Amino acid sequence: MIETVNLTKRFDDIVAVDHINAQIRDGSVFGLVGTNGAGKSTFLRLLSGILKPDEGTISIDGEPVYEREAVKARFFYISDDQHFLGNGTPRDMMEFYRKCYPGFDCGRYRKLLDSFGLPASRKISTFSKGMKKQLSVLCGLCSGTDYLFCDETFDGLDPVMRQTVKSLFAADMEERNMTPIIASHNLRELEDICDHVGLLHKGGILLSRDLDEMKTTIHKVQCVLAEGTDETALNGLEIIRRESRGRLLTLTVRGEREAVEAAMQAAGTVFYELIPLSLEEIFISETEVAGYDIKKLVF
Amino acid sequence: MTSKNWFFKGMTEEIKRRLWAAALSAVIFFFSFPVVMVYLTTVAYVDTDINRKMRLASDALNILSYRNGWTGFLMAVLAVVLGISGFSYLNSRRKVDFYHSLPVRREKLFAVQYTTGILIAAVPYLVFVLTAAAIASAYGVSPADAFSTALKGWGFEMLSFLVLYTTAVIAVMMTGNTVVALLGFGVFNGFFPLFLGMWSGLAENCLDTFCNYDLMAGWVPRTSPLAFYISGFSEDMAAGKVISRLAVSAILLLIAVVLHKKRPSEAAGKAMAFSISQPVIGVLLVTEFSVAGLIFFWSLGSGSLGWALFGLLAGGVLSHCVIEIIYHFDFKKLFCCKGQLALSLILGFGFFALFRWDLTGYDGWIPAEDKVQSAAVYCNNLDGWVDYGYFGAAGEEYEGGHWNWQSVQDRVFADMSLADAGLACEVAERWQSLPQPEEDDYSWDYVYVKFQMNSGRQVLRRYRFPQGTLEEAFQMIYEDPGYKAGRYPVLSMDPGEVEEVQLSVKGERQLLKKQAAVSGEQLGALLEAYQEDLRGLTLEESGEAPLAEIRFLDGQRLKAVEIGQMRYSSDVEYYPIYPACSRTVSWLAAAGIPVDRKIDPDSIRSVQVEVEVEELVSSETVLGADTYEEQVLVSSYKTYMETDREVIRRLAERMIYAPYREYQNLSEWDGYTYLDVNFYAGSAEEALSRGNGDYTRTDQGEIYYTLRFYIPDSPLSEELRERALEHEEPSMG
Repeated sequence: MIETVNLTKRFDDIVAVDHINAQIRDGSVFGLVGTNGAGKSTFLRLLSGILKPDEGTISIDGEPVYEREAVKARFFYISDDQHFLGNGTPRDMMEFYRKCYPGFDCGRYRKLLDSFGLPASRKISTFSKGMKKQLSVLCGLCSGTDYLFCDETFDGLDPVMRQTVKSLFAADMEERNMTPIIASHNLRELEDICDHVGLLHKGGILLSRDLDEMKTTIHKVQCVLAEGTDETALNGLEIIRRESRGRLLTLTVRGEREAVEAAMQAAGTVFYELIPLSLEEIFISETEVAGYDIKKLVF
Repeated sequence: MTSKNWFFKGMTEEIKRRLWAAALSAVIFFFSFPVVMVYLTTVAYVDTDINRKMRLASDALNILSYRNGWTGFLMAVLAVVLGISGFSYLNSRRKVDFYHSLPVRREKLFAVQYTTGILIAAVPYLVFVLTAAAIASAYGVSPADAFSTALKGWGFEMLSFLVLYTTAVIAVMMTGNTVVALLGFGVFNGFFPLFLGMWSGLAENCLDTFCNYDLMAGWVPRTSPLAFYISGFSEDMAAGKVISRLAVSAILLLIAVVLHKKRPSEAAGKAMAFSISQPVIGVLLVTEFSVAGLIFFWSLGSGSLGWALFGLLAGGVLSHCVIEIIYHFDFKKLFCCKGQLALSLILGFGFFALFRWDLTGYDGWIPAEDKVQSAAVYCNNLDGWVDYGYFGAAGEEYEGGHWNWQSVQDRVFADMSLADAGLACEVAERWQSLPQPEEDDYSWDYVYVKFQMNSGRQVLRRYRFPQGTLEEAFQMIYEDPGYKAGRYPVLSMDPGEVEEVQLSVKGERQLLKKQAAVSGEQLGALLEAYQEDLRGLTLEESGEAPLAEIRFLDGQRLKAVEIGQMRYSSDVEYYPIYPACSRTVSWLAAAGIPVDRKIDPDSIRSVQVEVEVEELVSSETVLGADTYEEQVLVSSYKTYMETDREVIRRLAERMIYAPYREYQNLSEWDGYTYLDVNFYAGSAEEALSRGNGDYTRTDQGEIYYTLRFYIPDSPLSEELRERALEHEEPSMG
């Protein structure tokens, strides 16, 4: 498990990461969202031991990360603009990484290069942006590390490739309990892969929740109340958001599904329907509760 | 976790990454050693076979040795290129993220990068210098000499390389941008030499008694890695030089390692890696440039304080703006940090004021006699003819070692200790009490003094006196036994060391043992006689014209004379034989070598007289005359050929051999009449021997040679002037 306590990093007079306390459980996908400049990359660079915290600690299973070879060998960092060896080819990268990561799986790397259609002997400098992204993901997956830190990794991948990569992540999580930590400014990109999401804003964590927990405790309900029934009939519900169009009410409510359904029936609704919430909608609701306008923060 | 031999694996990868540098290094050294050596063997020397072989050996060893200036230059360039390019990844965020996220400790990364840079220079150099040594050996150069010279040269060059290379690495560590790193390298090498130069310049201009130039110059190699690097290639390779380079490299490496460890990854792309260094370096540089501007405009304005202040502001503000633009990579920030600018200007003016108004009381300082442990004194017009130097160790270049000159100040201040240190204090006191006359009114005697204080501190001063005002003090100083012991190195020579004595009588030289059959034991006795004469000499006696010159040669000196070493030329380390040197004169006379013989007027064919004449001429005829007067006083030289036998007879009695003039202590240099005297010679050989290798043969078959003499101001010189005006043969104006 990765744990940060009071993690703080300043660049001159800018506080890039501000006293972040977070726990990232093994075997889950941790999504890190936030606008540009929210501190996502800095947070990942701190986790990777690139930057030294000004305050606070980072540990992996209780061991500090900075300048600890054994601990750093447990993760692979894919930056948003990954560097490759000058004039290097995918084969050169394999030779390089196998010297750094004892668990680097050369056989798998070759196979994946093949299946992704990346020529092993071609200079990486001639690759497109998307091909470079693919290569960096392959390097990360084949390094055999417990954690994979991805900074805007899906940005630049086409939808097919994005799905393929997600499948590879899922397979590695299944097979060897790999834990990807993915930073992105795009919530929709993370929706179908993340188990846990942290929302960063101005260097601090605004929100950190399990996606399943959020999905089972927040519901979107569309309903029509009976003639003459007042909205006060719904007072038993914890309503986070409310919209009305004629007699049609659209509510975002917190609570277990069964409790919400029971409340709807008790309120004498003519019609009600529970609609699945997108990650985006959940975040809109949660952050509004916290007093923020999520649309300004993320989208 | 990385494997244990990651260092070597990493190095392999690093060499792959820097293949361009390795290839460049290999190509440069290939052309600098094997190609040059092959070319050398094909050069058609026009000498005999033996000479050809000797010259080839000498040239080949020069190429292989550490004295090869081209190699020194190459290594300096490589040091900067490899030092900065090797660690330039630290200036790119992408690369920093890549390398610093790897499970490799930064110390290991540093070790790999640092070592690879050294190997890229060292391996091609070693391979190709050994190849060149093998080629030289194949063409007759002693293999032992060739390979040992090559290896010694390689070792020393690599040590010197480490100094500059590590400095370049430190420059990268302290900055976050490659161009700024190059500028930083320039600052490391140039800051202190410029500072010392300004210190020295201000002291020289503002302080009357300042004379510590050598100390200033001595500090430059200690404060600038580049100057330290360059200083290593002069003189011989001594253990001290090797050890100092090792020590300096080790210290610099330690600094580089600490900086690398402390350097934050986020420094990539910034101008300065450590924010704390930014104001410190900024203030130091702006202060230095403000003082430089001040000195420049102060000189330009002939000492005007207004110009000095303008220079201070111009230098300070301009440099501050440039530095701030570099720091922020933003032109709009040029007037940022005004407080630092103000501080720099105050410091700069304060530095200037220290010298301009002598705030430290430098000139007024006179030591208390009881605090002076010892003292040394010398004057430019007192024994200024003595040569100082020493022979270096024999090496590949000089068979018998080679002559190294030393400055008077270095040697005299090291060797001399006056028996009465109060004499030096008296010089200082006399200077203090003397009203300082106008600059151009006098000819000056400069007296240099070193006080060795009881505290261990050394104080050097220069006092300037109008000529003729210090003769009484000179008298006492000259008679102090400590003065002569420190001023004349010949007094400390051991008679047992003398292997040959060279005597020169009016330019005619002979080796006494070789040419006059004087035995080795007798030569030692001659030295003792001369030493005795010199110790007993009075100041007045040392002002007379000498009869001859003499030099005493030990083994190394004799070798240098025999092989005709350029640096130990035919006129180095001669001592005068004054008429008062009775023991020496008698000894030589007894050995059948009289030095006090008179000039036979009949041996003189003619005399060309050169007199200085001053006359009033119309100012219109004088080019560039800056005067409103109708007439100006112009001095010119007039020559004529004197053939009157009576005049020649009188000249022969009075004339003094011109090169001996420098031996006359406290002599004045004006008002002499020069004579080029043509002597008959019986044969060309005689003329060559006596005429410094030159002679003339007339159409009538007469052979004569010419020597230069002079006549001091006297009725005779006045007569010559009148005769010159009668002849009216102006030669130059």
